[in-house]
Amino acid sequence: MNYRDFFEKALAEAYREAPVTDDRTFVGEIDERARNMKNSNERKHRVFGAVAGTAAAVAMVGGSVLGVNFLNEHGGLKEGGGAAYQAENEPSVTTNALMSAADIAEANAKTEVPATFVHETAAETITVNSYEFDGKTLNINCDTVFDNELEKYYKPESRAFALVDGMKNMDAFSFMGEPDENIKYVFVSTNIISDRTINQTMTVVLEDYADSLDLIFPPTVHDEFNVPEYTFTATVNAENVTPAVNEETGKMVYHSDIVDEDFVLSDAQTEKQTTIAIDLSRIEAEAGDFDLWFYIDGALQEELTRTIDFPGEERIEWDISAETGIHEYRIDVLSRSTGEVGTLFRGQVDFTNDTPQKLFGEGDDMEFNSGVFRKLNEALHGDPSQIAGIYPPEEGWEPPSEEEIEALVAQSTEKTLAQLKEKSPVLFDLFYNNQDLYASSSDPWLYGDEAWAVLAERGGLDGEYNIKGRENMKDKFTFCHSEFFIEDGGLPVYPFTGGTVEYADWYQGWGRLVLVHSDDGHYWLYYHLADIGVREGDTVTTDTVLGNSGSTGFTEGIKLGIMVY
Amino acid sequence: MTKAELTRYVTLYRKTVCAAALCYVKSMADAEDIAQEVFLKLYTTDTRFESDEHVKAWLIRCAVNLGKSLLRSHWHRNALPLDAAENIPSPESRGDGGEMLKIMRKLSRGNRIALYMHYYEGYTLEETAEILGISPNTVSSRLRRGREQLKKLLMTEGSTPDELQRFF
Repeated sequence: MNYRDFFEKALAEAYREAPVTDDRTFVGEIDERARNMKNSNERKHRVFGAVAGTAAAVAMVGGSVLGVNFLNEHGGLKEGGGAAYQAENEPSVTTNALMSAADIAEANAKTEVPATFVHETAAETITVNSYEFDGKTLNINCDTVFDNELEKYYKPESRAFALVDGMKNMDAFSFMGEPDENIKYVFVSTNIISDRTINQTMTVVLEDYADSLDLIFPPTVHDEFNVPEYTFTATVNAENVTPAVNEETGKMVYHSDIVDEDFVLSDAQTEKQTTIAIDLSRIEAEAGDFDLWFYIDGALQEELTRTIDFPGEERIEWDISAETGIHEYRIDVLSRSTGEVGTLFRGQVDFTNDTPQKLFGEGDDMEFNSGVFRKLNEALHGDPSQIAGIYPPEEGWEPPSEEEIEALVAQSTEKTLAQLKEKSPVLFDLFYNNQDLYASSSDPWLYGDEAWAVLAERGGLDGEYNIKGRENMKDKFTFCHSEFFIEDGGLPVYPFTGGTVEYADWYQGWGRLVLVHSDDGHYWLYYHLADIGVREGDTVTTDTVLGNSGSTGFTEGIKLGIMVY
Repeated sequence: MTKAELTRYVTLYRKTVCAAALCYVKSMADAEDIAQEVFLKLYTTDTRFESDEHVKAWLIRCAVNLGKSLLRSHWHRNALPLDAAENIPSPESRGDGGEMLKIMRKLSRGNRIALYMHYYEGYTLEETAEILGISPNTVSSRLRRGREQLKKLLMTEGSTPDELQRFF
């Protein structure tokens, strides 16, 4: 065997592992995408058309390798707003593609990077082409987010990312431009914290990757995205578990909590699949055995008996597979210890598109009838003889209209924010009043040990992190989803620094969260905790256990989130 | 570029592009995504190409760049857990692929692409350097380190000295 054979074999194995489409399909897909791109380019023409011609002519004369050079030399053009568009069409790809390291270095040297950069794009320079929402991630494909002003500072080693509603931990991005050249398309995908966002403020930040940790550009470029198709909401506020009587049936109903919904597509064309995960950790109820019934369109799909210890890290996951179409699903629950029975959760999923979509949602509106919880037990005296069978689905039930959903979401957002403001002005201030976020374990550039050091440095600790906190997690971390991903839950979490606990409770999307106001004035956030061992007002030291690691809130596994303000 | 031309280049170079991308990403599925992106660029670019070889080098360069940026991009990491759920492995494909693929994945990326370009695609040191945008010296040291790494990996994977002898 020689090297060639080695690669030959390895590649053959790779193809065996993941079979690929045939060339014809492959070309077909590309052709379709190219046509879509063309359409969106035509839209841009309308915006930039007038100036593009002039800019193109000058670009030819300038003949520079990179758009950045060109723009530096001909800065005057920036007024026109056409250069960004032009740069996209500049056909100097050959040179770019094979640009040497020296050329890149030279281009970098020519590019003056300002210490700060504040610029707001004109609204029309951002065109949203399409959205794709797979139930978990919103992919927004937008054109020419960067106008020429921003592009001027673009360097080959730069990259951009997006903030949504100022939340950095939801960012994601990739460049789709020519290799190492001007930015052309920015595909921004963001994780949704659904209770806060229908109209998202998206901020695009350009960051110097080569120089790693420093943000060159503060988050200033923004525009509002309307996402009309967006009807998905995943979080329901568990803090509002209140009893109510269903007027039609006269039965007690409870609003319970649904956190996290994963949608997974199966390969099959007609049958699609999604997983619903229900977090029960905030529900107070009697521990014991529970029977769960899962229905699609009223037909029983699955039956399950589980012992659930409340309160605790309890999560029910249910894979739905269904034919293309719109389906209603429902989960009924029976508590064996108390005899309570009820519909825990129901909703509707649209399987007509490639992406299963939840059609309606938003907590308080959703019908979360739950007869299994303690408060209800109290209300109904917990008499086991009252077992009457499965609570039947109500007839004539209709999902709310899109307008209603929108209104509900807006209402819910307002409510959530108001609640937070009242409960913890400090946390509210940190999250929503543009306080400086120095570092976060969600920062995409942070890895492993480095992340700890950087967090500590940004938090004013001279890079000295609490070795106890780190040691404890040692070898337990891998870097995943930009947070500290831990193999096992239940590891004690120590703070980076001593201070006062400002907030120690659940917060939507963040799970259990502890906010420590350190003695030197920084605010440290620890979140996704399984439980909390401190109370608001407590004084903590680096030896205090804040709680144990867990997976509460929006996570895809057991994680520890840390942020420092 | 016409669709017919694109089809021709896909037939000619799709495997090359996938292989180059595979030097940066873990799975063929990711590599395929990159390949699609690369051919889309080819399809839409205004570049005048001098020859098929020129196209090939351009494609590889694109794939390498996209591979790198995918590694950097948050989205990729973001997508990992979902990918894991999506690709529910069939019994045959469960596991880490075959022996050689496993070893290939263990090679560090820089070395991997250098070895691939030089030994598999048959580019010279200088050509490899130009396409990858690094200096010939770097290429040569990556090749050296890559060879050593590969040798070690093959030894730990249980190749006999005899096999290794033939290999090197």
